[in-house]
Amino acid sequence: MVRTWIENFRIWAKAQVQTIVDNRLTRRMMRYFDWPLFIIVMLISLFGIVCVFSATSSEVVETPRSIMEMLETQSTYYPARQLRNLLVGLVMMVIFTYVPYKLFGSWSNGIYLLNLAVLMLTKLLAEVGRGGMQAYLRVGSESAFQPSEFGKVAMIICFAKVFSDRKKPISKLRDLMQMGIYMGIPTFLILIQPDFGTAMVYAFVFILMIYISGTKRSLLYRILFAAVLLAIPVWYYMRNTSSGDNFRLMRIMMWLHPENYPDDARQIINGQIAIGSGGLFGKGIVSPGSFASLGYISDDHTDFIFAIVCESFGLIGGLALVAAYILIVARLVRLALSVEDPYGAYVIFGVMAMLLAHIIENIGMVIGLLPVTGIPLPFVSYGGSNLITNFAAIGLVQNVMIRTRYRNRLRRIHTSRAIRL
Amino acid sequence: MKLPKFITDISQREPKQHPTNRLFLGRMTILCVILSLIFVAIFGRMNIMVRSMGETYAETASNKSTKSITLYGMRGTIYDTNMNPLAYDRTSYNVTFYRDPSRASAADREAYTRVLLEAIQLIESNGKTTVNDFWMRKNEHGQWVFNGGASTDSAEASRKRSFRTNFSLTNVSEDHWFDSLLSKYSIPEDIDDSMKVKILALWQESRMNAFNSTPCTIAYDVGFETVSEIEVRSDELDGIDISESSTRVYPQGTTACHVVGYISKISSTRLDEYRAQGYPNDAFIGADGIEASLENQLSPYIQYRQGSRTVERNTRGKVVRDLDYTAPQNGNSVVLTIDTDLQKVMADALKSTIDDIRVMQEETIVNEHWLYLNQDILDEYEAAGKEIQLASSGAMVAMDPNTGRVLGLVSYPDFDLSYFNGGTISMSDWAKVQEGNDPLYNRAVSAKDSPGSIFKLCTALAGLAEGAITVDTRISDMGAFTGTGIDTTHAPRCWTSDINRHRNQTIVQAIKNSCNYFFYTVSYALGATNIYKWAAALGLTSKTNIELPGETTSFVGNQDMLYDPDLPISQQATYKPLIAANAIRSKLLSVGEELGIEYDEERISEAVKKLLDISVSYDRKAEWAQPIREVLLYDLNIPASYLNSHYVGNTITTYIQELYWTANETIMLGIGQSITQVSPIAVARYVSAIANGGTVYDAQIVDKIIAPDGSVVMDKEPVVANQIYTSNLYFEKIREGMEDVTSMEDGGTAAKYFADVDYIAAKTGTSQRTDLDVENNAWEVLYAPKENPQIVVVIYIQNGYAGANCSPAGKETIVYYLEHASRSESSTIGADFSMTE
Repeated sequence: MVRTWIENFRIWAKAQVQTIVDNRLTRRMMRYFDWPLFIIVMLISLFGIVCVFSATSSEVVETPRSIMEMLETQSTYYPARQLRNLLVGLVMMVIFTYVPYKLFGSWSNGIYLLNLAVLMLTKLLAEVGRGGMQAYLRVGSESAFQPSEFGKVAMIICFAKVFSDRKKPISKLRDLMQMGIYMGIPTFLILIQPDFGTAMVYAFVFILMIYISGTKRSLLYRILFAAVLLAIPVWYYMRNTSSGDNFRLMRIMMWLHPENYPDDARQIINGQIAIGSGGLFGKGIVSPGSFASLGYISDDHTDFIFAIVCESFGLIGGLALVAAYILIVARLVRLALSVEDPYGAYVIFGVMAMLLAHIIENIGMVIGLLPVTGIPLPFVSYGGSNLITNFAAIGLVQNVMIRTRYRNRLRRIHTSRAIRL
Repeated sequence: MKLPKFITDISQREPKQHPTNRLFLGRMTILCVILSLIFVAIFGRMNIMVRSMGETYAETASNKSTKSITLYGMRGTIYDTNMNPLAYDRTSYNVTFYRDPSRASAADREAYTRVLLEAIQLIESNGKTTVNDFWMRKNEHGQWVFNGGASTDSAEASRKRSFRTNFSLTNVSEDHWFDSLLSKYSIPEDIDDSMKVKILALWQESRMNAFNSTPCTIAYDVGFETVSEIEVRSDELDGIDISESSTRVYPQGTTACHVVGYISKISSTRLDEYRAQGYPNDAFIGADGIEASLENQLSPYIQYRQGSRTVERNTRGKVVRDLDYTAPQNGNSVVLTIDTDLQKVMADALKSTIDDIRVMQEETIVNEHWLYLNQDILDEYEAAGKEIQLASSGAMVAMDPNTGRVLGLVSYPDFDLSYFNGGTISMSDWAKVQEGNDPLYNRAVSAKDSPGSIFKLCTALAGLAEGAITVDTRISDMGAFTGTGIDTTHAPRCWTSDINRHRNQTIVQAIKNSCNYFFYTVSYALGATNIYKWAAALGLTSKTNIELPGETTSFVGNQDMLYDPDLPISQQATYKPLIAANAIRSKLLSVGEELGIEYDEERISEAVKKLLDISVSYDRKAEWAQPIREVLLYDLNIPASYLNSHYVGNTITTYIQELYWTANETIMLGIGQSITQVSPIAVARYVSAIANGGTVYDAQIVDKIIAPDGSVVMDKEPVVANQIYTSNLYFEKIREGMEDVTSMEDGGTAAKYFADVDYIAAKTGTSQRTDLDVENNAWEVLYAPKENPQIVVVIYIQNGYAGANCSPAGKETIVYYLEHASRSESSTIGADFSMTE
């Protein structure tokens, strides 16, 4: 029996490899690689490494005179690791570009189950970290990875597959519920880590897909209504449990009135001070008296790096980064609309939704528009899992673009030949 | 709805791909619009943060990261006249603790608790203790209750408030405070209560300091072992650091302890007063002696001496760079007029003299003859449970009679100043310091007692100057002294048993003999007012203005001192008016009770005051009966019949006559008894005036005040409080009498102690305190040399038995001083000569 399984798997695997080889990227296909997207992403990532360097710099008495002096006097541990992460991310991007994206789609059930398995394993094996969170699996002594990050790409593939498989938009509550459960199980597993931020990203991607797939408007209203109904008891429950223990409520209260929680909201307050004090042009990467170098903002190289971006490069730098993100989003929207394969379009849209969720929530929390949840700023925040995941996602987008454009061209040539003939 | 251009572009260029990918275009448009709005919000918010609020944020940023630290220099040094330090500050190291405010989770608190526990163990293993002033104690029922240790209720309440807020205990009932703190700070359960309290005490220091986000001190003046261990283990001991400070050192032990004094923390009641002058809450202030009286000179905390340092700190509170620095100034140093070596000689001499007297007294009180003589009194003592008081305390002052400078000042018993090193003293050490007969009390300036015969010098001067006697007047002791107004039932006599020895005495012989009869005669002729006038001229009724705290004002008897009708009863010079008032009050109340009359407080007080005033309102006692009767009749409504039958008036008379200055009091005043009370320091300048021929100086123990840079801020000159203009002959005669006191051939009262020295003059004083002679107070005043006196010494020994007993202490001091002075003087004179050449 086991032998049969293994044999079947071997045959299956062989077939998959054959498919990959058959559909391998050729130099001709590479012409359809989307360079604008890649260049923007690379620029942001390199800028991110500089920001990580700034955020992890130690205090200085005077501004270093040269970049060499800066590098000599400051620790390059984090930026170097981030550069390594970037290289791994590029490799991951190549892999996710190389394997035909439809193949991922055909594996979606396996991917879904694998994701569930890994998330459960994480809950079982992960060490309890900050805030009682079990989100990281340790790899070696200095590294750990966050399965829920990689899970995001998995879920984008799964959702894209599920939505594109439907011939018509969702119009029945039952279908919607089915979809909800499909999304809900992995989201729940992340929620109990507990990692509220990443769970929200899953939900955000899912809801945007529901919306864009043309789900019946009355169903959308019902979802909205149910969400409000659910929110009321949850809110009262949180209010009535003592505030000291309720982390979630504290986050909301801190967001509304940071001045009332000088100790706990220090990160928020200091982050905003850093942004405001950066001025139009910023204080520079390593400058005496900056909050970046004095360490006044906890997690300033990860979740709160946007504060360092603004402190070091000023309003101009901050706005430039946001503008770059807008370019990415706009590019992805345009690409999504240009793809005729529904599955491919959903994949691109999912990637866009994921990046959007991160960008809006992260920048929003740092500038005080949204409550704090611990999610990173794409391509800028220090952290391997997130950077690699994002590059994998970009690879997936390139994958879709290359293959659909190539197919279009083939088709056009074919048509024109046909006409000529 | 119209689509954004780039989307319509796509749809125009590749129109047919559209329907196939099934993304809803319209919804994508709406989504894009919403996203645009979100990004506009982000842009807007960032713009506001930087462009409108940027300056505020920038200011907040620098306020957050920079900190102005007030710096204090060292407290000034106290030197003796030879520049030997008696008290100084040395550099010391304290252990501090700082909690990174961003690390506020339960896990962080647990980690910090572990660090604190290790720090305590480390510090204790090196023999030092951590700050341990936790505001909760276990009461007798074993419950932990708040105990802030403040002296007033309001201060205690405010401590409790700040304790509650700083520990975030507002929502916790008081019964659970301790348990709540134990769990909040994850105090391990397997350690004993005292260690738990020690850790919580440090948390308390940290919490109470949280508002100014500076490290708090958790152990003072730790040794180098601790410093190096903490530095080695700095990685694991997160938040623990070393800071430099200074510690007060008293190197001389008991020597000059009453002069130098000591420092202590500011008491909560005086905190506001000192804070107004710029002192920090945990400052040390002088609590006694020169430390207290010259606080303004010594203290580094005075506003203009403070320095400041503006620093930039990282999130862990570590100083990153200095932005601004103003060096603090040290306090000024004080040079005293006293000499440490002479102090030591004096302290030892006084102690051994008191010990010798005690031995003598202990022998006396078991002597059969003495026991027989004093049988009645001893029986009374036994009945009352009173113990015989023997010599156990005293004071000695040495003064330069030509300047009023104090050369030495000791009070016995003394205490060890080294207990006060560092300014903090443990409860057990504090108890140790106070053991015995009030050693902290500086008897040389704060004690006053009846002078006895040393006052006769004043009477003599008054008699000569006022013409009551001349230098040639001769008076013989006639036994009982009689005169108008003198009580004949207990006629005053001289102390001698053989009146023939006091025949035909001149003033010189009278002083040598200390003949009471002679001075009765002089005083009787002078009257109290004249004696008082000369006592005042000699400085016995005013402060000497010595630069030491707690100087008492001596006073000399007269009617005003006995009862001054212009002062309230509670503020009279002596207790006599109060005793009389209380006696009258209880008498009147009992009369009222008997008659069924209720007197309210005001009415009775008024009547008592009126009755007391009668004692000073009439020339003769015979005139008192009528006004007393009037008060009783009209003010208190006591029926005449009752007055007549119960002799109430007579009773009142016996009470108020205690306040009536009689001729008896005058002649007692003349020999230094009566109500007169003088302090050793006042006596020192009085004798100095006799020795120098009439210049009364303010006593002076501060010679110079020196700024930290060595420049002299103040060089104190002698201050003449009063110059007596009268014939120098009078002073010479008095001094002649004092010279004879120590002379064997003339048979002076202290002669036997001075057989081996011939340059000391003295006068003894034995003032009677009780009916037991062993309880007499002993005084002796000395000066030397006979020509051009250089030193005056005053010795006061409570219950010293007899004045002459003080002689060994006085002699030793003078001999040491003159020999020492002649050595040092010859060298300085040599230097002077070479300079003039």
